[in-house]
Amino acid sequence: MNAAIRMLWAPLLLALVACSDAPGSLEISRVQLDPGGGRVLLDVDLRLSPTHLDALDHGVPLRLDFIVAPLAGPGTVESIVLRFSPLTHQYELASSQETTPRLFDSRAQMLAALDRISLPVRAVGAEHGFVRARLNLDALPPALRMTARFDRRWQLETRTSAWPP
Amino acid sequence: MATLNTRWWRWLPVGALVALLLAAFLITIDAERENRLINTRGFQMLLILIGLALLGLFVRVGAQLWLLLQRYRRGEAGARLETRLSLLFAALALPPAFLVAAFALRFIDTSIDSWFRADVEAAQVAALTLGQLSLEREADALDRETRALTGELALLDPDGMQDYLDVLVDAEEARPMHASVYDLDGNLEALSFNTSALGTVNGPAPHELVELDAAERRMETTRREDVRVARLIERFTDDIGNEHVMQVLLPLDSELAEALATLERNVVDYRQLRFQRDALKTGFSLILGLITLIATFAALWFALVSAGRVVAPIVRLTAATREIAAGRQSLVPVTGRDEIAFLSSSFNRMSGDLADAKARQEQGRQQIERERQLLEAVLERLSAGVMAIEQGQIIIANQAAQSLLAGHAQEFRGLTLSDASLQESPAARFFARVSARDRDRTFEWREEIEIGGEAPRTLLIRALRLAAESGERLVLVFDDANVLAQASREAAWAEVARRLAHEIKNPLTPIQLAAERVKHRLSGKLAEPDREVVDRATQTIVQQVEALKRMVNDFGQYARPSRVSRERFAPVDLLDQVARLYEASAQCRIERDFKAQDVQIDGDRDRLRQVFVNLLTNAIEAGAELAPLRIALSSRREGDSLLVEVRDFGPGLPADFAQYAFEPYRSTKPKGSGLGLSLVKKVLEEHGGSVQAGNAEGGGARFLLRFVLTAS
Repeated sequence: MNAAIRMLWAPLLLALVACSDAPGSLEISRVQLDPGGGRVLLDVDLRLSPTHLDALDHGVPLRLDFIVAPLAGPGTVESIVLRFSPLTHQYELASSQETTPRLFDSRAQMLAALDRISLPVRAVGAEHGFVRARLNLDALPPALRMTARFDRRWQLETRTSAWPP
Repeated sequence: MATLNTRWWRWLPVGALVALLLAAFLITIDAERENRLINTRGFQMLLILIGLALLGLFVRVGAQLWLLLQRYRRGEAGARLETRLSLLFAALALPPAFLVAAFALRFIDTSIDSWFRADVEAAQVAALTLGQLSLEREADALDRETRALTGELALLDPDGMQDYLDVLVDAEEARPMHASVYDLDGNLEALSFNTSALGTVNGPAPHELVELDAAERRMETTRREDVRVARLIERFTDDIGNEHVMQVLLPLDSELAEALATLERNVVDYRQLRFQRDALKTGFSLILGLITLIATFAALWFALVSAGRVVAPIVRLTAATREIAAGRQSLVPVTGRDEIAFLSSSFNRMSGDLADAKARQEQGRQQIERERQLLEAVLERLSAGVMAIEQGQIIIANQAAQSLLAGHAQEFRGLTLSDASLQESPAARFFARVSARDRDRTFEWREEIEIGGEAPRTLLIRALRLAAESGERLVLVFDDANVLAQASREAAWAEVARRLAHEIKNPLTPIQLAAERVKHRLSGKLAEPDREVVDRATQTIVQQVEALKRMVNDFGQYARPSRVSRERFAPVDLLDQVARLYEASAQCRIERDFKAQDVQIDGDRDRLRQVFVNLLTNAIEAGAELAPLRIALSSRREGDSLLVEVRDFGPGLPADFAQYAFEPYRSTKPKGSGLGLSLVKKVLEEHGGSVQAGNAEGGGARFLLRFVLTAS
């Protein structure tokens, strides 16, 4: 009976899910060019929804993409993958800039480590530019992708922020 | 709705079904390929295509259902049967589709649920515990092996530290390891290793240096270059007070590391799958729902189309039956060789037979109608009155009957013999007698009856009782006995005239020649006064013979059988021409009031000229005593008749002369033969017309000629 109801109401459920509450949030509160040049420092406010946290604890990796686009020179996409290891009960934070993931004993520590992020700017003399971040839904397991596309609780995306502010 | 029959509208369901099947196929294939399509623009287009196809199918099937409902409400032929068949087909097709869908859903549900078993999860937990214990044991071993190291290093300077680590890693019993010492700023002070499997090893991260307390040791298992290692970092202070951090990495046994990696990968996959359970069910339900919708719409559409096709020949037959019922021939197309085709073929044969029978009936009806018209024409032209009576009601009465029984304003046809208007008419005796005879049911009788009115007359009636469809019919034929007598007299006169002409005309010429010869022989031999007597006598003989010849010619003309040569001409023009001749010779004034002068008749121009000559001669002779001599001619059209009047201004006709004016040897003139007006009447009757004589108001005689106009 549940299956039949699901079939009949699957499109409606998708629509309802898309409008449901308690979404997560991702914001870039400050962007600052490193005085030494070559990097931008982001103050990030990441709040994962219960759905994200549930997925993370079930071993689903969450990939945050940071799109860095200096006015002069090419743009880059830097990724940070959040993952939970059930074997070590540790949270891993793997950055595309680092070969070794950082390990945290708790989820709070890992999320706290994301408060301030330093990203490379490969263009020389990029005093001006834009940065934007989002949760990459394409990196989710296949079965979750379609649901995540319609589910606001899955979607995390910042507005475009400029540097200097 | 004509626009609904465009080609694209007809093929819309097929296109939509093909599109939906293709979409379902693509989604199924994509699911097997790990949903590579799902986050692309192509997938969005696919969703739009599915939506449009479903909408198209919905609109098409909905429109067809609506049209069927409208036809059903209007009670159109075949709509009820088509609706019933559509419902039947849909009832046959839809439940299996829904049943299969329900079972498939149930199967998907239970199948996905069966992936997640409690014993499997318990085994995974146990395996994880084992793995964690293994890691703890490795960490403990590292802890034990390295617990004394910082004590030794604390006594050495950086160079000594380097030497100590070299000895440590180069020892024969040493495990593969990577050992290094850093100051608190992360600067490398000593490094030694005996394995390259770990690649370039970085020192402790800055946050680790900050977070590590004095003399604190941290043990962990982690990965370096995909190699699982046990890692130790310990903060220590040397003997002169400088603080350092030692990091030691010991790769785990490769088999153990591989087993742990496999274990963790499987556990992660399993947990991810369990997390996606609802999403998987929703995805499969969507695909199945889509396929069910396709099947539903397809079943409905096929039901409607199939019902329409099955019913179409029956609708055509029904429409054709209605046409035939309305009296029109109708055929239906015969397609195929099934029972419907046989029925259509039989129907067409029946329709053809009906049409033939109807044509024959129509021919018969036309024949009867022609004969009826012929009979009516004959009856109308008969001088005898004809009347038919059935069950006391007059069903036939010709014009002559109406005239002979004059004095009744209403047409007899349709009246009953007991009608009050008949009982009060001048012909009441006639109808009373006929009614009595009808009641007596006399089969055949003959009787003379006198009727009253302005012109009393004696009717000679002959009656016969005939069988009819609705009983018996009494047929009466009656004539005016006076007219019959007059006709007999005319016939006798004609015979007399013919014999006179024959017997008298022959000796006249020898008499005339003999008289002239006598005059010729004796005139020269005789003296006066004998010669004068002979001349006068012979002259008298010749003149009287001439007079006799004219009389005989008149007799001959009157008695001659009529041979009318027909031609088309205007009689008023002919009268005008004759009048002009008299104007020139007779010193008379002829007044003309011609209307309808160009109306033409079919007639004998010479005989009608004789008619006009006779009438004008009479008029001139009648007014010869008066000066000036005056004649009035007029013409007018009245219905289907052309009326021509010739009037003089003489003394007029004597009293009671009018009714005998046209009988032979009736003349008001001392020297008249009495045949002029008889000839006028005869010629007019030959032309289907009539003539009436009478006195005009203001004096003088008037003759009214009536020509009946025919269509030709």
